[in-house]
Parts: sequence; C-alpha cells; structure tokens
Amino acid sequence: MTVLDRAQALSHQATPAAAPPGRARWRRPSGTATLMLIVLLGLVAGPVAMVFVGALQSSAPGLPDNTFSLDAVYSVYLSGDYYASLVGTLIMAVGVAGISVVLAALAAWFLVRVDVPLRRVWEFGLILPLFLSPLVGALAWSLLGAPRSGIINVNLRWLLNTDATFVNVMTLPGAIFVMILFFAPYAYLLISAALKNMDPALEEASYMNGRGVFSTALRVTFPMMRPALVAAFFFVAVLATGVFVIPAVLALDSGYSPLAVEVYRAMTVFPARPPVAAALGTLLFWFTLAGVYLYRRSVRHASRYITVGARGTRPRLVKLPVGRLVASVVFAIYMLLAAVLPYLTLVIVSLTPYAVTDLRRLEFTFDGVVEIWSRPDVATAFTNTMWLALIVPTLTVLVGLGVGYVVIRERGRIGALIDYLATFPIAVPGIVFATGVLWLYVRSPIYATILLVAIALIGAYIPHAARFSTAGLLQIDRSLEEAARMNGAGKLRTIRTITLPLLRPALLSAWTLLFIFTTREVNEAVILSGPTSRPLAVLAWNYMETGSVRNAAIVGLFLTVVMAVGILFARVILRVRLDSSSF
Amino acid sequence: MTEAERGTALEVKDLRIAYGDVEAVKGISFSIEPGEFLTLLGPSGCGKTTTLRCIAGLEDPSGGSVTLGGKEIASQSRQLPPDKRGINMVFQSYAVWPHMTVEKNVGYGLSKLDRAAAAARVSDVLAQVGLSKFAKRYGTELSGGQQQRVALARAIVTRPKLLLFDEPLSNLDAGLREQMRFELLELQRTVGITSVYVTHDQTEAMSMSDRVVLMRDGLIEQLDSPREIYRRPATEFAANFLGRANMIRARLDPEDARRASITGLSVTSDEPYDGDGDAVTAVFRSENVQIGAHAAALENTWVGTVERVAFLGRHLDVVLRIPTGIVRAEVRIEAEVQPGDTVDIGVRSRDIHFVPTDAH
Repeated sequence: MTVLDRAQALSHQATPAAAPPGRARWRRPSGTATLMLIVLLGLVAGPVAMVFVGALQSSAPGLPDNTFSLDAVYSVYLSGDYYASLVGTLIMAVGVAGISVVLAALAAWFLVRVDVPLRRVWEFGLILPLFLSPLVGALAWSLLGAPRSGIINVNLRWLLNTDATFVNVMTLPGAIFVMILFFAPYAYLLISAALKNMDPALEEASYMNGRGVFSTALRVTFPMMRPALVAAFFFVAVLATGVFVIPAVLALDSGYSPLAVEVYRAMTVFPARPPVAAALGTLLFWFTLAGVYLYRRSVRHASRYITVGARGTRPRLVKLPVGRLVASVVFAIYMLLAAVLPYLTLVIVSLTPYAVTDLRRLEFTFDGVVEIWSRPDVATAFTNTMWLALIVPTLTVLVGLGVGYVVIRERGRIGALIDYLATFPIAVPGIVFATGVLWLYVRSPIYATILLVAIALIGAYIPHAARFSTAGLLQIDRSLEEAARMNGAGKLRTIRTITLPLLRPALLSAWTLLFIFTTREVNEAVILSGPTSRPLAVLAWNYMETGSVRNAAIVGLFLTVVMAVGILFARVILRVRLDSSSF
Repeated sequence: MTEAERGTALEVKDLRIAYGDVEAVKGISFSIEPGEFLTLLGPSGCGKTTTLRCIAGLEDPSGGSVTLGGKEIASQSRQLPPDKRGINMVFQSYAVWPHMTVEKNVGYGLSKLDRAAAAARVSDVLAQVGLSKFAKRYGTELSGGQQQRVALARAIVTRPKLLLFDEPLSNLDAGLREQMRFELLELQRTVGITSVYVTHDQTEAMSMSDRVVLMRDGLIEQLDSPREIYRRPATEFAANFLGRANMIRARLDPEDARRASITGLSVTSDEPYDGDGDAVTAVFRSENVQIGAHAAALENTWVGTVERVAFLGRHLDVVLRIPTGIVRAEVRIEAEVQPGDTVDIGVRSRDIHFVPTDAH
C-alpha cells in the first residue's frame, strides 16, 4: 500500500538527517498531532487491545460473572480444533491473492501497455466490482452456480438434454473464484498505478539494448513493479482472510469453514462463546501481522525503485495483433462473470414470485419488491444505511486529512507513530476489529446503536482515507503553503485557503470510495448492529441466513440502487473521476 | 565488428511525425556520414527529440523514411521494432534500471554473447567509463554523473551501428556537465560510433558536433558545421540561437549586393547577399565590434552613445545606442568608456553577414 510504502520511504529519508541523539531532536508535538494521536488511540488501538483482553476472559467482557480464563486461548491455540480451519484459511488467502495478483498484473500490462481495443470500457469493467457488494455478488453466484438449482445448471440441462452438473460454486474453489472476481480489482488498481507512474525510458532503454516486448516485460517492467505486486498480494490476502460473507454464503456446504466464519459463529450462533471468537481473532491477527511484516521486509529497498522520470513522454503502446483480441475477449468474459451475470440474476430473482431458476418458466411481477419495500424493518434499515453513508465517509476523510497533515507536513516521532497506527487497521480483519469495538463500548449508552457501527467503520477505514490525503499532500509542493504563510496567513487560514482547495479532488475520491465501502459493509456491522441499527447490507445477510433468498436478493437490489445513486451523485454533481487514476 | 566500430551511415528523408492533428516534425531530410557526430539543436518544442525517438523506433513516422546502413528501418507503412535496429540510446533520465546492479545494467544487451565474453566486454567498458569499482552497486546508489556513465556504458557496450543521445547532460550541474561533455566526446571519438545528439544548449552543440542541424517548429532552419552556422547563419533565428548577434535591418543597395543602407546609416560586407528580396539584416558578433579612435579606420563606422557598461571579468560588455537600435560590444577591460559618452563604433566588412529579414 502507498501508506506502507511511504512510511518506508520516509524512514529512509530520516536516517541521514538524524543528527544529535536523545532529547535534542524531540519537539513538543503540535495540537493537531496530539489530537490525532488521541483519536487514533480511541478508534484503532483501543478495539485491538480489547480483542486481546477478551480472549483471556471466561465470557464476554462486560458481563457480571466474568473472570480471567485461559480456556479460550487453549481451545484455539492448543486443542487442535481449529487447525484445519487455520490451514484452510491460509491456503484460501494465499490462493486468492496469488491468482488475483497474476491476473491483475496481466490485465494492467495489457491495458496500460498494449493497444487493446476499447481499453476504457475494459478498465471500467475491471474496477466495476469495487462498486458492487461482495455479499450481493456471492448471493447472485449461489443462485447462478448452485449444483442442483443454480440457473446455469438447470438451463443447460434442458438445453443439452442431460442431467449433468456443469458448475458448482458451493465449494471452496467456488468461494475462491468469487473472491477473485471481487478482489482482483484492488490488485489491479495498485499495480496499474505503479505501471502508469513508471518512467517509460526504463523500458525504452531495454528495447534499445535489443530486447523484445516480452523479454522487456519480464526483465524490466515486472521486476520494477515488485513493490506494487507484493503490496497487492498482501492487501488481497488480508482482505480474503477477513471476509466472511463470501465463504459463508458459498462454502457452507463443503464442511470447511474459514477462521472469519468461525469468529462469526462463535459470536452469534447459540451457545455464543465470545472469548473463543476473540482468541480466534488474535490468531488471525498474528497471521495478518506476519503478512504486513513480510510485506515491509520485501519492499525494504523500495526507495531504490523510486525513479524520477524526465518530461512526460507517453509510453509507446506495444502492438500485438492477436494478443489484443484475445485480451479483449478475456476482459469481456470477466465483465460478464463479475458484473453482468450477477446483476441479471439479481433482477430476475427479485421479479419472480418464488425463486424459480428455470428460464422457461419465468413470470415477472413487482409484488415481491413492493411487499419488501413496505416492511418496517426495511424502512429502518434504509434509514440506517443512509445515516452511515453520510457520517462515516465524512468523518473518516476528516480524520484521514489530519493524519496526512501530521505525517507529511509535521513529521517527527509522533508523526511516525500516527502513521503506524493509521496503517494498522489494514492488518486487522473487519470482523475481529468489530468484536474489539463491541467490547470497548459494551457498557456505554451507544451499545447496539448505529453510532457504534459508525465508530467501528471509521476506525477500519482510516487507512484508506489516510492513503488518499497523504498521496494528495505529497503532490502539493510545500512552497505553495509557505508562500501563503509569508503573505501573512495563519496556519488555519493556509489550510483552509490553500491546502484544502488543492486537496479537494483527492478528498472527494476518498469520500466516494468510503461511501461505497460503508454502504455495502457487512463484516463489521453484522456483529455490532441490533435490530433497530441494522443497515440494508446486514438485513440482506439476515434474510440470506434464514433462507429467504428472494428477499435477500430484493434487499440486495435496493442496496445496489443506493450505491448507484451515490456514485452518480459523486460523478455528476461532485465531478469525482471514477477511474483507476483516482483510487 | 570493425564495420560497426567505424559506424554506419544514416539517412533521414522527408521525415514527418504527427500526433493526432498536430504535426511535430514537418518533413525534414539530412544524412550522417559513418563516424560523424551530428547534433539536433533547437528550442523546446522544435521536434528534435521527436526526430531522435523516431530514429530509435520509439515513435512512428507519418511520412518519409529513415535508412540506416542502406537498409530502410522506418517509413509510414513499415517500422522495424526498436530492438531490431541495432541502435542504442542514452536517455535524458539515464533510465538506469534500479533493480539491477551496474554490471547487470551494462551487460543487459549482451544476451546473445556467452557469459565469459559478455563479462569481459562489460568490464572493459566499465573501465573505459571509470566505473569498475562500482560494478556491484545498484544503479540508484550512484550519483547523477555516475548514473550518466552507466547509461553511456550500457549504450556503447552493444557496439551499436548508431548511438543516440537525448539531452544526456541536461540533468547535471554546470561543472559536471562541462567535464562530461569532454569525456563523452572523447569516448565517441575512440569508439567512433556514428552519433546523433539532441540538445537545446548551444555550447554543447558547438563544442561537440561535426555538424549541427538547427531546428525550428518542426523544420530544419540550417544544417552545417558549428563554425559555419556561427560565421554565416542562414537566418536571423540561426544567428540568435548560436551565440549573440547584433542586427541592423536595412535595405539592399540595388547596384551593389555588398551594401545595404537605412536612414543615415550604411553597412558593407565582403560577401554579396545572395538571397531573395531586398529586405536584409546585417548580422555581426559583439566580439567583432570595436569602439574608440581606431574604430574610425574600419570599413563600417557609426557614431553611437554608450548606454550601459558591465564588467564581466575577461571583457567589458558595452551596450551602445545607434539610430537603428542597440549594438552590443565586447571590449578590452582597459578601454575607458562611461555611460553617456559619444563614441565611434567600427566593424570590419569581413565580419558582416547579410541574412533575409524575418517577416514576423
């Protein structure tokens, strides 16, 4: 990630400048820095600490009969009950991340370097799944690819007059497949950004030394992108470790369940064992922490990769007469699998009276949609989603701005600490983080309100907001702000009149991305929300869990409409650019 | 090998390069002898880098052709890929691959040689550029000047038929730039590779090149040796771009193409004007302007007022006003001139050169 990269780069820069040791370098932290530190301790460090506390209790923290106990830790770490789940989770995470990175790197190379026709369309199709909910996608794929009643199998059977089963996504490979559809876009964004920022002369020099297109790609382009590839790998691996909706929907039949699903079960399924959930959370935590450590180690020499290009010469597009057509077909198939088919399914299922999957016997009616829409719990959930979608992105962007300002402009030791804390939530799977937030606030009046959900989401999304504002601030030459100070503006006026207007595009992009994240969020809200504080995405999950697939599909459709309206608003009114350059 | 070392001839014929509707290069032709050092010189946006990149194969021409050693390597219909041209290039940003050591960087283009031969050639070239000590370092652990040498070593190690330089010295500071200029030229003379060099710096162009192609707005303004362009610029633009030029715009004498005059002032040259029209500009260099008593004995003498005197160490830079405008003179520091003095100004007729007056 950029935040991690930059932290690395900053620490490199700091080394030669570090002069007198000890107290001499210690500056009193500014008010902004102190405030940001307190905010981050409350939003990030507190919940993580509570997970560790919770793992050492006999029951959920906050309950009266609670005592110190090692039972949960024993059960998770030593009894062996969870080893299979652990190994399965690791295989799944590494598999999803590995395949996603390979596909994303190929996609980025083709879209940035090769004269593939309709490049803008394919790029839009590639990042489209970012705007879709993984829960809705998993739901749609369970309807499409279930072995007995899935739309693909049912219809191919009568078309080809057999009773064979063609696809089955209700398996671990099926879950991995759907995860790749939804997580490869993240890898694509990180990798294509690195590719676009690379000095084209580095590749041109290779051509001049007699190497062809593929030799250059293998020896110069991809090695140069190693930090981005490694970052993408760990980012996707951590996402895949923490997501529970996709395996919960798709792989429930297969007998294996990933750790994230086990955490969810230990928290919610009777008899609930919160300490076990916490201990499982700590287990997941060690693995993601190891991932972040390995990542930092492998990009230790990242500063070596920072090259300053000359004037912006546009890279030459490689001409591949056959390759460009093959690539187009592959991109079209991806778009079909990741966006077109799932949404078509969602619409079909929502508009048929009962979940009929035989395309010959479809009867369309709006009765189901109208009935669900008029339910009071849907209305409540709708209101909750709207509140969250307004509050969470706004506050998170503000916190991210503060973090970026302290880290980039003020630096110092407290800046480094803030940078580290702001990156931390990336290493904590959402469902584990939510558990910590739950216990931290269990005795407070906000327990089970949407405020609690909002607090958890803000904490979890700080890294994303910080990434946007640090990247934006790095691009604003310091002298622009210094000129304002020399012209008599105070610190606040400088920020208001110079920094903020210049940062506006970056902040709006961050806001839009976080709006999307918040609207579709299930991983955390599912633990934290009560019946009155439930957002739409959790309601869809609850319907799904109780077997009302059609209701879940209808709520999923509402959710999609909310997201589409929000994205349109961002695009048309706020003029946010929604392509890979803005994420 | 010996043929490559002597270099290969390059011919650019009627070359055009367009980006969409904008034509960056509008039909230029020039040719280079084997072993020659040719510089493309011009202000930014004149199309010199585009031309160089087209020779390299990094841009496609929209018309015309490029021929290297008798073989056509680029035309509108067919372009040989850059890796098949046997050309190498030194980039402005050096483009030293940060993920490889100096040794790997330099040896990159030698994949067709066996390992021992390649290693020997790499160490030879590294010794030549004085980087043997740094063979195991990573590219970006080196200073700008050292990276520049890596880029140079990497470009000559493949023994290309043609060596291209894209403003290679523009990222260096002034002192280092001068030193690298000499090193680079010496190296080019020893290996003898035909070279095309792009720069916007007239000092680099004049001190290094056999011939200079002066470009402006996608066309060639003048193509000649630096000495000739300096002595006999073809246009006012050429006169101004290489060195500082004094200019007097006048009308040619209908009887004598060696004379031109304008209200109360006449100019004489040794060489008759052979261009079109009678609107001519007399061009002369400030080092050929003399002032004071002995100036009156020269072929051209005018009277002017001293406006400003600046001490520049080796000489005085004197700004003089004559009826047609300003004349600048470089005079010995002993000369006693004060602002406000009325002085005689003299220029020999052999130092005067007529060019057509610029329409705009």
